[in-house]
Amino acid sequence: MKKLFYIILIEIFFISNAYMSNFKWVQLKYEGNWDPVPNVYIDVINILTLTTSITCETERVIIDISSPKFAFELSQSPFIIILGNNEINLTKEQINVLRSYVINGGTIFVEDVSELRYSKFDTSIKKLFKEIFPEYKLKKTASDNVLMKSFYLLTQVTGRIILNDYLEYIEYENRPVIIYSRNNMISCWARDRFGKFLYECLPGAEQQRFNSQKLFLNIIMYSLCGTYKSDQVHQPYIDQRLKLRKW
Amino acid sequence: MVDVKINLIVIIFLCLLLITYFFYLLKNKKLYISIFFRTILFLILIILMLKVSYKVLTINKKFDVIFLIDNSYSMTFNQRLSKVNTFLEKNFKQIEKKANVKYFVFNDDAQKIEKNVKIEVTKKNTNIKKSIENILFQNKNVDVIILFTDGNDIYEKYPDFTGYKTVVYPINFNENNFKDVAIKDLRYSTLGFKGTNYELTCVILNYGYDNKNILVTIADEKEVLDTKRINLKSGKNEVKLNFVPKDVGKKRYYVKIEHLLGEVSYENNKKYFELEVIKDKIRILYICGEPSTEYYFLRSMLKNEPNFDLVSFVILRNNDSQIIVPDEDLSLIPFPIHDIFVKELNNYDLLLLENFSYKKFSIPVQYLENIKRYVSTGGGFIMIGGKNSFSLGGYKNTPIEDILPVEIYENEEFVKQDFVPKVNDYFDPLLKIYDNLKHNESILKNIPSLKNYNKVGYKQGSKVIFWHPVDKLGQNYVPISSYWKFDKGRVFTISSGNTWKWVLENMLSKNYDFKNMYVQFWKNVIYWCGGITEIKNIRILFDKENIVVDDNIKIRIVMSGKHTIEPELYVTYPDLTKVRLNIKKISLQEYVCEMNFMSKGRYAFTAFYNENNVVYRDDKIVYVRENIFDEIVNLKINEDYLNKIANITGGMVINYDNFELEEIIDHTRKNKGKEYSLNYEIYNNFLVGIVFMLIFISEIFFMRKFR
Repeated sequence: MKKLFYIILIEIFFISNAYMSNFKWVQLKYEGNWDPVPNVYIDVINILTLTTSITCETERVIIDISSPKFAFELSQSPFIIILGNNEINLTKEQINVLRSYVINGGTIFVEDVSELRYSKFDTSIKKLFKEIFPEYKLKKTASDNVLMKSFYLLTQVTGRIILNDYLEYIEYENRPVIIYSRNNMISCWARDRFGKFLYECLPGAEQQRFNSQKLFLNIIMYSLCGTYKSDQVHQPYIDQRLKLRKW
Repeated sequence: MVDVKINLIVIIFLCLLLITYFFYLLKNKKLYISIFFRTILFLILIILMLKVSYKVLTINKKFDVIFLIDNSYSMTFNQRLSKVNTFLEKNFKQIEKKANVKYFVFNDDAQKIEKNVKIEVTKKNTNIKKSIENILFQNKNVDVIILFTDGNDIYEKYPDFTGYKTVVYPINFNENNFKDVAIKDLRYSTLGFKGTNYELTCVILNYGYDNKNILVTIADEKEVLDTKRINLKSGKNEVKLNFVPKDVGKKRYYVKIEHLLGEVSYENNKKYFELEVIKDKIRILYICGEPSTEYYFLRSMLKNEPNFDLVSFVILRNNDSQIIVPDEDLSLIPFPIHDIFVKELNNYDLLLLENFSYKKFSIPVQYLENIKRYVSTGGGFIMIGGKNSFSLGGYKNTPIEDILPVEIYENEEFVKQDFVPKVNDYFDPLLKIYDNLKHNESILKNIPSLKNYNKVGYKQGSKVIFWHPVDKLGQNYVPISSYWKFDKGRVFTISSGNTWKWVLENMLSKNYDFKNMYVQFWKNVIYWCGGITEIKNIRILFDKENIVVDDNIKIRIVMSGKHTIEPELYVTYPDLTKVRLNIKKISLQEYVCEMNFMSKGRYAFTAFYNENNVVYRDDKIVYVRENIFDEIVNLKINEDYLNKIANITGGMVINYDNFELEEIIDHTRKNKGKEYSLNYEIYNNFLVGIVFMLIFISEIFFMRKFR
């Protein structure tokens, strides 16, 4: 099954349908290492198009935080991704824009790819969260969190490594608005030009990689469906399937 | 003060003239006069440059005192105003001897009164800040204000004493045995649902009845709806009351607390409130063809709205999507086509289809016939645009085409474009964001853009909300959003599935709340399609909610579409007399009149017009209450406020029984000390300039004469 997944991933052919796309990969560019795994978006979009009904834009959109059009560009993108492994410093004005973005419906996915327990990125991003949302605290996902079931049913939070067995998030108006991962799940997608994965997943190897990829797809599905899978109508089915699963 | 300044300068000037004359008599006139004039000119220049001023101490000055007496409604309780009248009557002569006294009464503003006049209470609220500031403005040099008030000011703001040296001495009435229970606040939603439990929180203030059990009751005009017994603790107490509204419509209820022996007033033991009762929650079935940002935003909004009961289905995977994991690893549930379109449809008030093509799921056309029947019998239907909506979703030549308020065509285009929708009618009820029509129009004129749309056509009989600004189909612009009534049901369409942009672009807006606009717009649509609100061709609107006695309110009549027929507006007063009101035409759609609500009670308004033998009308009921309720909620003397106002000015709260004007004057003099002086700014006096010019001219004159 996993092999099939990878083969399809390599072979999929794109039809550009940007104008009616519902998902755009939008990444934030800032001073520092903002793009540690540059081309993974292609594989993510491929697999989304292949396995779900989501229409995706094939080109990545990069929003430069220092651009004078930063706020406007952000206002056109309901979901943005922030990656990094080093310190991230934003001005007060940029923080205010991000706060306003989130309050008005935007969702941010942040990943610390440093793989360090105590990283500069982690310290600075948590400081940033406090500045964006001083009134809210980071929460930890439980096994029944919507992010664990928005498309694939998952029981564990993983990545290339497992630094935390949970995702962290800030909730506003009953929805996770900032989702924060420390397990470097984005690197599970990175491949070389021959299609071979660049980074080994530890300790669970390929099964861990597959689960991490599914978790990342769940986060994207969440950005388009919200807490849909928490609706009561789904619960009996989800419970039944969880019972049927062979672990 | 000004007199002193002028005299001083005039005297100096005369002295200078005299000295000049003296020099004139001397032998070497030219030299002496020249030296003298130039010295004077030099001195004046020094004065001007160094901005010289001087102070005069006025320690023995007779004080200017103002007696400022609160005659608002709360002063009627515990005989507060009677005490003031007695006090003034008793001390009038003594006061007059010791100071220059003026008398003012105040409620929502201050007003001067004659000496020795008996002060009457008014049914007005208190505004201490405004009253004192107005008095200070008119009496700049007043030394002392003796303030008789209970401090029950609903605004509770402090006057601005900047630039004034006035000292305020509030008088405390010594009400140590004050006892009262009052309804301080009712916390409630203005909207209730028929047959659903309605909860209200009543906040009760208690002074002097600790540990007493009292009954709290909620009732309408006919019957008691709920009663709770609570044990009072000191200060604030909260009690929750519940009842189930039985009938729909706007109704008036009241909450009442039991009367206790020895209370200062029973007037604050009862409070009215109004509730709009509508039928129970709107049940919405939302089917979305694929995950989308529009779904994410709209679902969040609908979920957060307690009046909506939402069941939604999103198609997460197409029939042609690859399957890379076993079914038990997916959270997907089967799409219950038969249940939705056959069995369950009638259990919902509203069916919403977003970018959903029935063809993709092999849904039989008979099921679409069910939808048409469902709408015909009173159901609501919404279609949101997308590449699988309208004709692109295969709905051409199906029963759905009949119910849509737009024309759809075989060769429908899905246009990729950003555009700012053009509002068809700013008075459209579905576009009512604010009660204030100007605000409403203003926000709609600045509406953010939408993206992409299905090119559908205008259908005769439908009402268009937004047009495309430039794109035309035939003679008409492309309708972006339309609605109509189909038989007994209501149908709404919006051909752009990107209204979420209004919310996210709110982050760029400084002047308008587009997030609120989005929520309100969709709520209006859902309420209408769900059969909760009736869209009327004529509506009566008031500029203010919660009208109180003496309010002057603008009443607007807004008509849907442009008419040449003038509507009529009638009011039935609380005494049941019926009067036609004169209305003024503002535009072809809007009429306005002003009305003063002079007494409390029920006012019934009816507006109507007759067009082609059809009468269109709207009725509104308004309950007007006394303005004084807020004032009497907490009747206890507000000692904190009195202390603070005294402290700001350097005064102190004086006990009513220990009042001595002489002590107050001494206290003021002692506290203010040397600072209590008059400051004269010589440099700032225009006479100094005139003196300078005169000496300068004189010097030239003398020099020429004795050359």
